[in-house]
Amino acid sequence: MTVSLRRALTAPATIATYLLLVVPLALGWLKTSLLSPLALPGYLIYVIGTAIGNVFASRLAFWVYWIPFFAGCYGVAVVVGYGYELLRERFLTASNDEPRR
Amino acid sequence: MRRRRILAAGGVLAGTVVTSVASRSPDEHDLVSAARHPGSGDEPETNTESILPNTDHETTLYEIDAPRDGPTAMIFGGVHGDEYNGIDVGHEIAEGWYPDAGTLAVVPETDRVAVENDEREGIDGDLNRHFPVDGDPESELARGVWEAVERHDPDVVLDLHRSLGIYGVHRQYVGQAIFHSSDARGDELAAALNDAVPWYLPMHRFVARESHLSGPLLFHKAARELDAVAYLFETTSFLFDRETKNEMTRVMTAALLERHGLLEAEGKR
Repeated sequence: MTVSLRRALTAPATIATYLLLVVPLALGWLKTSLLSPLALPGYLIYVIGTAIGNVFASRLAFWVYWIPFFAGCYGVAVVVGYGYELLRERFLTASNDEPRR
Repeated sequence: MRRRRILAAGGVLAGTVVTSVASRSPDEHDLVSAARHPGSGDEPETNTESILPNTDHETTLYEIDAPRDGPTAMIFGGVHGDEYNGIDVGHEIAEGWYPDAGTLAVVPETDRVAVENDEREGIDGDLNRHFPVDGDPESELARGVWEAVERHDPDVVLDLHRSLGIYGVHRQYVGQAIFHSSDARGDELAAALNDAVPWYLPMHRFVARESHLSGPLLFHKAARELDAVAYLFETTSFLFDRETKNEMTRVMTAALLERHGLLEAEGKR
């Protein structure tokens, strides 16, 4: 019982998670008043990322951190998508193993 | 599978946009509203004077006298020429704020050359490093500004700034902070500001820090030599656009005027 890498990279749960992390924060970046509670996960990732980066590269402008943010969020989304697909696979297998009545 | 992906993407996109638009908070802060609307008494009288007239540094000081006696507050914007929140809000105050008591003196473009050049520093460098501990101000502009401060002898001084990052989060930046003299009401002002910071931006919450006042900053000198209650306010450009920085600056200024007896909240008028 495994989930292929390709499936984890493009699973609906991966895409949904990625958009949820990126879109609400990106909207807020365009106009601060568009920030919403949905931006919180992406906000925490972005702020913590800039705080760590700022220790090592204090002169780096903050807009540069959008690049690792986009990549990092995709990594998080793939992990979530993989986990979701694995659970779904297990659930389906367990359902199929049940004796028919 | 493709249909599931499209549905997932479409659902998230639509949901985020709807939530963002729905959670916008257009309501004006109560204290800002009070500052923008005259109370029941006579309207304040506004006078202007020039700091360093007929020089490159010439800039306007607006003095708003409220109908009732009270303390004097001085507010400075544009000590750094590219920090628009202080400049924008300074002009707003000069053009349409109505204190209920005392005198409000505001200088929206303190370093006018820096403001016109859209740069942090003016002709002689960073104005906010020209007010040394034991000595006279170090530049022509600093001397002109300090003469105006001594002439008005303020009870309260507020210097409006913005930083690029967040104090305590980004090592060399000081945004979302209020630095103040020992007798100030920094914690109360930070609490008032944090009411305006959404809960889902936890790192953007304001902090108040008492300053040692040993540096060459304008608010340090005002506290040291005039015993003024002095504040330096810093909002941040980090994820905040110009309007949001301005709103934070307005809330800070109105809350300070209310805490120091120049403004009454609308319900108390």
